[in-house]
Amino acid sequence: MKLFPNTCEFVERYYLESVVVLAAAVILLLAAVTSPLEWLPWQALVILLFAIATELTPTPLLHGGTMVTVGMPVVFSVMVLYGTLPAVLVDSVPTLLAGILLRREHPVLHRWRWALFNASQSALSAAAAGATYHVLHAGAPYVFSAKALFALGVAAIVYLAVNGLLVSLASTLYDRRESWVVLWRHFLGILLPTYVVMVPLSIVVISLLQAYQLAGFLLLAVPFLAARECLRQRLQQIRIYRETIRTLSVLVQYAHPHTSGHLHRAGQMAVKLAIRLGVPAHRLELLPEAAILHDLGKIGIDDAVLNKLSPLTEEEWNMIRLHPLKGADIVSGIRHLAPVALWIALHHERPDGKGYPFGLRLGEIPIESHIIAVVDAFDAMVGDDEKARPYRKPKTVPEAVAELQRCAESQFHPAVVRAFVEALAAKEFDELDETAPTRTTSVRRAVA
Amino acid sequence: MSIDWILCFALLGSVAFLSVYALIYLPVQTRRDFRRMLSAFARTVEIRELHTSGCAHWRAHYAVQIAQRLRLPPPTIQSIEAAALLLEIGKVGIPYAILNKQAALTVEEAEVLKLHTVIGQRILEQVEWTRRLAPFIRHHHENWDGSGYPDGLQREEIPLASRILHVVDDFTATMRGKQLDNVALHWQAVQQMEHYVGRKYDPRVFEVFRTIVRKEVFERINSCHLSDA
Repeated sequence: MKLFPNTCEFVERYYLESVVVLAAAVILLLAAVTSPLEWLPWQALVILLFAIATELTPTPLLHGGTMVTVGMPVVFSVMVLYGTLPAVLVDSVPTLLAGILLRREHPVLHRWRWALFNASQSALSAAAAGATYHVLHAGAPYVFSAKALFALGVAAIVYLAVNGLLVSLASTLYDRRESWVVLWRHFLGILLPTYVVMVPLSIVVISLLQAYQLAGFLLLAVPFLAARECLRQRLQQIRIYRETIRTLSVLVQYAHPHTSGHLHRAGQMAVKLAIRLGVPAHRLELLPEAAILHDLGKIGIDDAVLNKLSPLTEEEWNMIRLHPLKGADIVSGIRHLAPVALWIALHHERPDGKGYPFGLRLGEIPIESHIIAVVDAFDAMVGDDEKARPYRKPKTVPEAVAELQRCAESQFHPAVVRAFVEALAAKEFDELDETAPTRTTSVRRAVA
Repeated sequence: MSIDWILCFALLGSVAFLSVYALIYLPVQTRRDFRRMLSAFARTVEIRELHTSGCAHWRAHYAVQIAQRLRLPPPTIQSIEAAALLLEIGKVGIPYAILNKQAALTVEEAEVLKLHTVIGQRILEQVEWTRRLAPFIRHHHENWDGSGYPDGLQREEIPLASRILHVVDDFTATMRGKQLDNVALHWQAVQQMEHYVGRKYDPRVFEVFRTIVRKEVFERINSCHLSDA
């Protein structure tokens, strides 16, 4: 696919190869300008061996071949104390070995090519950071000073920028058809906080190496490994969480014969509405999940009743009225999703108090439930999915909006309806992505 | 106290904290999260099928014990536990009326119900981490003599995990409508199932299962004795 309007086809086709060749050229250049004694001082060699050992330890990997490295402090301390070339080697050699030996598979690329690319991109990042540092610091030996800190900080930013750019370009070309700008921004969002922690840690490593040589480094190895383990565990938890949502959304499609595209669209619409309504950012995070899973409880309702064409009896209505609570019951068992349970339980409450299951009134219902109610109602009215609602024809968008406005105050929260109409007028819903439930996989792979 | 000592203590303290956090607290939490997630899925089926609440947990309990006694490797045991919790997930695709019919099922309805193995497999195949459990779920109604469904596999052709799951699944089915927490009744269920050993169940797996239930019942009776005294 086209990255930029004007790039030549050649670069796009041979992106991986170009990065590898460029990295090789940079390494050769560095080797040419430094004396052979400084290629890899023995301290740097020991550190390199340590880095290889940590990369190759058989920690169970996240699926998709993602590895967690917290190698940046090590690379930076080598860069500061022994020069750029050792830093490049310490960064890229373990990556290369791990990529080949641990059989880290890439969905599209061959394992060897992917490993080579990863090693090359980390070499280029380290080289760029090293050059930045040594230019800014003018080759003086490291002392703890404002100038050195500044040089280190800028070098870290350069490292992150080059790394992020190369990896997001690769993801765009080989993985998914998302714009590299989006990926890059996402990449920065995830990694920037990590790197903010890494810079002070680099300073600690450098000071220890200066004061106690390698003994100081080994002293740090234990917390280093522990921190790595922490990061791995956290990622594992995030993975479990995502897969929970993924599985539940597969299940919810049995209760609610919508396509997954519809569900994810509803999730995104809900978020846009919430932003418009000024819901604080930390509460937005779970809203898409809530919108996707709100009808989960329908799994527990007789499908003959759900799909019935004739009017329902009172008894059948009572049965249907249970579905918000049944859904909440399932979701409340999952730690990350506990706040969602309440929203799901109340998504059929109405401002006028005629909703179910409890008949709460306007002020007692969380705004998230109101948002889900509006999005769900709109989707139900305009949805052309005949299987989902066989009993009526889909409405046009203006008809559906008129219906929403008619029922504002009684059935829907008036402010939510207003925001919905405004968002519709601003064409905010036009560019929703129906295929992308999460886009973190490529980013997590980038950390490797 | 010199600054070096303070630094040293600070370092040691952070090492201790990080180690405990990374090696004890987080793994426990992760495992708990994982189990909760599985329970949530099990619960999803339990709200659809009446009178089954709690079944999934007993299934997992016995499946794990059997697997342990057969000395299967720990990762396999974990898979079997997950599969036991997800065993009936295909029932979300079975019409409610058939699933909860009080009277006996007609032949066609029984055929529809049998589809839950295949639907379960299809659901699990859609999600990456459950993909390896899919064949276990597909074959959990295969019989030892080849008369089961969906593929009519027999004896060792059936994956061992599925043979274990078949036994524990039938156990909870036999216990349906009775109090699952009443361990004394478990032995009764085992005796009813004994009739089918060699026809439905792998004799070796069933023998292990029998031993486990007997032990469990004994232990329960003994502990009652002690608490009475």
